[in-house]
Amino acid sequence: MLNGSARKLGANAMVGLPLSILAGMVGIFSVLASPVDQPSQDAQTRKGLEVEFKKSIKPLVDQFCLPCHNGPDSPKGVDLSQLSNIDGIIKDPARYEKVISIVRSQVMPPPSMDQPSKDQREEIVGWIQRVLASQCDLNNPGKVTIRRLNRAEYNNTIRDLVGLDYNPAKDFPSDDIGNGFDNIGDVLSISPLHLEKYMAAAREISERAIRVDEVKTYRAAFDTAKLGENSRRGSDNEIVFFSNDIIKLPVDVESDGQYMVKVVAGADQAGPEIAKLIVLNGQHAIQIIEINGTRAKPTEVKFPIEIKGRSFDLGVGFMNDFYDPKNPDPNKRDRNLFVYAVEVIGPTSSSEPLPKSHTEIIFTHPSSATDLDAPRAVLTRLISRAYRRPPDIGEVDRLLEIYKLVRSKGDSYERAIQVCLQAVLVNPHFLFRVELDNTPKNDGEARPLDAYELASRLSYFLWSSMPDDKLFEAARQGTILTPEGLEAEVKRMLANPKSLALAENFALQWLQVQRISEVSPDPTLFPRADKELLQSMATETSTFFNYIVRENRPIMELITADYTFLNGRLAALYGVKNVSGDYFEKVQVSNLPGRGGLLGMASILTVTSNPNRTSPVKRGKWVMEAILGTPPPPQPPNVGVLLDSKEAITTKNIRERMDLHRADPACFSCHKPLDALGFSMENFDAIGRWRTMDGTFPVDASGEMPSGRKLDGVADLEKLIVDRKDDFLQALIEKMLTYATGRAMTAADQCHVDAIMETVEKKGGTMQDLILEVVKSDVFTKKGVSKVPVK
Amino acid sequence: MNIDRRTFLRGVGTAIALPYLEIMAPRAAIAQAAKTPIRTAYLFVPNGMNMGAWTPAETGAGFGLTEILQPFEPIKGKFSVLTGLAQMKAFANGDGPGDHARSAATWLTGVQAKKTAGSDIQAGISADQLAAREFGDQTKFASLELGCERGTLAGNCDSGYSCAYSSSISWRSENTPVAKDINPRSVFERLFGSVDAVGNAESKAKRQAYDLSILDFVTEDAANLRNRLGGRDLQKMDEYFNAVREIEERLKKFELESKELALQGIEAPSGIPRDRGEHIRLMGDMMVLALQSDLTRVCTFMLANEGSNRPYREINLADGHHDISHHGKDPAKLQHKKEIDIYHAQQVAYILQKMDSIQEENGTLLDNTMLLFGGGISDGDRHNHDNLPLLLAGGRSAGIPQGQHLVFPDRTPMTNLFLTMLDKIGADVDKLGDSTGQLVGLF
Repeated sequence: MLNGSARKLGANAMVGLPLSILAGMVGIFSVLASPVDQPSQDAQTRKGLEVEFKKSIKPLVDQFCLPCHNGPDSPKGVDLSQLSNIDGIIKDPARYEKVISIVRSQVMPPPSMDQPSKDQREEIVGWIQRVLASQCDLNNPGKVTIRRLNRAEYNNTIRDLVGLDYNPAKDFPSDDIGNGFDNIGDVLSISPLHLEKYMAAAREISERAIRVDEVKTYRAAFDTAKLGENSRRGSDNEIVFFSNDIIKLPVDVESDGQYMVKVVAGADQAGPEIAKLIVLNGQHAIQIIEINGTRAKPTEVKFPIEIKGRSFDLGVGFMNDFYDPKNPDPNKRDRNLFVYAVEVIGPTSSSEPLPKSHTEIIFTHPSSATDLDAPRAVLTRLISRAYRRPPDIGEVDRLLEIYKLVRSKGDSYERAIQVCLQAVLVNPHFLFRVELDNTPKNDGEARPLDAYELASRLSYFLWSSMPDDKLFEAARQGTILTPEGLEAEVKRMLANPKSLALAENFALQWLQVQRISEVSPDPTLFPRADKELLQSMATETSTFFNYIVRENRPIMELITADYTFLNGRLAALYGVKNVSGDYFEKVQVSNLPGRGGLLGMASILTVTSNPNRTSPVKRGKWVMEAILGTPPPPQPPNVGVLLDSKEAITTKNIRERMDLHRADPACFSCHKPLDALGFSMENFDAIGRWRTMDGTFPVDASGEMPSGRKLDGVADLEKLIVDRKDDFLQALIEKMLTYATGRAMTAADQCHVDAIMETVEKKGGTMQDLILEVVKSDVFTKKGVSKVPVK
Repeated sequence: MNIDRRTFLRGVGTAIALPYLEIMAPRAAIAQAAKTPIRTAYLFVPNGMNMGAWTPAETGAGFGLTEILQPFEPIKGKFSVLTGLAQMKAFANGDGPGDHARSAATWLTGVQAKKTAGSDIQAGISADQLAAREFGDQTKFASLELGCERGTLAGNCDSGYSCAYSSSISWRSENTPVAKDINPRSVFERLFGSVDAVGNAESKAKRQAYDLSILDFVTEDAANLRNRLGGRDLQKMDEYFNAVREIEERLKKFELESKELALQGIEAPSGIPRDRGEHIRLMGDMMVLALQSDLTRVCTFMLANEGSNRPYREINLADGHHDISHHGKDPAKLQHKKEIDIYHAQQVAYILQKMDSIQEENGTLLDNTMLLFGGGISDGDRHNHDNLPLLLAGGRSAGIPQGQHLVFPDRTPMTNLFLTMLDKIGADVDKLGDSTGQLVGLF
């Protein structure tokens, strides 16, 4: 039984022990295990491991490792004579995971020593892995590091918290990927740049969400005025009209409504009339006023104006120039106008309706400036939603201190709430999804999440966003803590359009389709592959995945579906008629070779290609990594590469060129499966079009797996994956658990994966079965608690 | 809105003609600064270099410029080529494949990065951050981190190493890479305030008071949280705490003054140009502005992320950079690799020339800056981390020798160079990564 699992061992050189390697094997134990016979089961397992060590592992270790790694003086302190001590391995998983990685990636033994064969390496590695996996404890949920909201989560949370959907996280630093996903707690760090961006975004969001109708004075800047022929700037920065003229002053207010215009002006009075000032709103004259004042004693005039559209030119002009050079009194010869200041004050009343976000956040108003009941109510609701839990004792009071500070400086109620919102949006309780460590007796102890913590995990898993009112209510009532209540919420949430986030963030990262924005097919070879087409490719994949989720289709339909979702551009690429426009519709494609399901999707076929040609290796690697969960070891440095010169391309087809490369035995062992899997997709070109010719050569999509299984074309690949359904499910479950919990899965998590797989298969194997089992697992509903250091 | 880059640059040239001290330095700094400060900058390129076209044949002064160095001709005499330095901790040393990730993580730290795909990332504090730690409180920004590429969006970055390693060279602590900014407009707004940030003195003072009260509020919550969290959570809270503190210091000391920078005549860049050369030059402009205005004295700039596979269509290369760098001695690929290296060198030369055109009290901005340009991989196909391609420009006022091809003993730790550079700016650092002492032979 144990050796049955060796088929996969060695396929992976990643550190951290991806679980799928252990597929099937520990499952055998957990199927047999029942609480009653648990101890004897454990004993049996251990006995089996001990027997196996003596029989097959020890000779290998003796031969290849112990010449150096023997005794207390071993290099780097790695004493492999202790390998028979199973408890020792179990106590130090990190060390032995490193041993696994080193043996598998052929770093050890050093080149000067005897080398074990690939199978022998796999035997050693497989045994250590089984020892580690034998420790899997279904009650141990593992430790999740608190997670900062990533960019997608931040955007969605702001959308759901305040009702603004404008990509506020656009300029945030990118979130690093760990274990294939951008929501891994350990990798999501925070630096001053983040905080700067959070401060700026919080300000912008709060200003957009809450309108403060404070009366403001907008003083027109004369240096931006468009002066005319008969006006100039005077020495005291005033505007001098020495003859009839109109100048334009740009004004930019924050909201529309009724305002007052204030003009300070004086004149050199001459002739029969008083100097006249004209004021225009854009092209329309709104006031003509006689300016009685002089330069020494200017006049101040005020009149109302209605502003629509926030920005406009306020025209100010001089109407009745007078010039009589013959007048005996030199002071009466010339009439001139001097404008000293122009201000727009307001709004006195706003004509714009308040934004919805404003009325939702500020749902009550204080009866007086000292009334704290209204702000307390507003801030209590704000905190409970933003922190995704009811406020702690004193939490609202502390936020009220900011409120009071703002009011004490003479600012309005609305402004004070606005500043409080800003404070909440940079608070760690908002930016992080906090799950407190409380005070565990022992480090590593587990506790069930409380209802609000669970609600948050659920909403960020399924929606990449905060809980909605119904989910909060389920948390408040505690129904979410019952299996039925939890299941009801999951079903409800998956039916909500917000569940598209699971497709866009989980599925597109799992399938590596998010890389579509990084690829750029050669425009001379593939002129139609513009940004829009590439984006459509990704949308096909997310729409398809979302359909499988929402319609609760069988998981295997991801591979075997005879339909897909196309818009006009993709339909043209695939050669499907009668689909046009931007809208994605469900299309039966059983008549088209290769289409339907993930394997025939242009998105995947394009991200696994080079800009100018297909890459069977990249495609094979994608199948092994994403679909079968058995990633190949990385390419060693300094190995031969594919001849890619013009001459090579025209004289040999890609298979011949790769055969040359594979002729090297060092390359062959890894390349055999890679190439067979990748070549089966050769009927798709580098942007996913179906083809039967590659340049001047007919496409040859045949290959042979190390097992001897022959593949010819993508239909055979589909069959192979269906036959290896368990591997596919293992890989998917492991990826989904990683995404859902935000942490790497280790060998000790294997039993969780097996338990989920068993139940899912028993229930019928639909996508919602899978999601439900993930959500109900201890990995998801519990938290491994760390000891809080004593301060 | 599409602002012509030239307009923008013209603006920069005219508006900031004043010496940095008069126009922008905070008063406190003016009082302290007796002489022009020495700045440091680190410019990083990925995937190694075509070493045959990089390393000069002659040593010492008067060496001939190789093809990749040719773009630096206009400032010949203001830089030296350093040969023989190594980052030995970027080699596998038992960790197997992953040279790209390691070489970036090690470049300024000299530390073996912990091999992990997601949990528990760990390298070491980087040379730039040591300088920032020492002198960061004297400028508005302790340091500036720039780049041209976001981290990758899915999958693994390099053989089981988290993507954090290949997209960061600056590490604030051993667990915290410093995030970088890739949008020139965003950098501009950070440096000089948003263009529409107007308002009178009273409302600015109010806003500052509110911002400080917000930071007090969140600091208190972070402190409370630290008492209720353990393990790695605690470390995340420390990251948050430190970030808040830095912003708070900045706000207290510098915010009001910087708002006075009306920056008439300078228009903000409009966003990220498609053309990589233009993008690099524009980010370089931002770096130069920041150094010149004494808004920071430490800058790192990743021209591309390590392992980047971007095709350089600007110079008609359809294959990705990483694919090309695995040349397998194929002459066509070596030629293409060289073309990319020259392209990068041209952009860096633009930045250096610009720095050299800015006069300060004590020589040009370039004379007052030690700028290191290069990468953490030597040959892109071999993935070796010794004999690294490195060029040290400027730094004349710090006594950096110029116009030479300096050859050090094979595998001399590159970290020794950092010790020397840190020493030149007066930072008291005895040990950095695998350093063994100051770089012998540089002076």
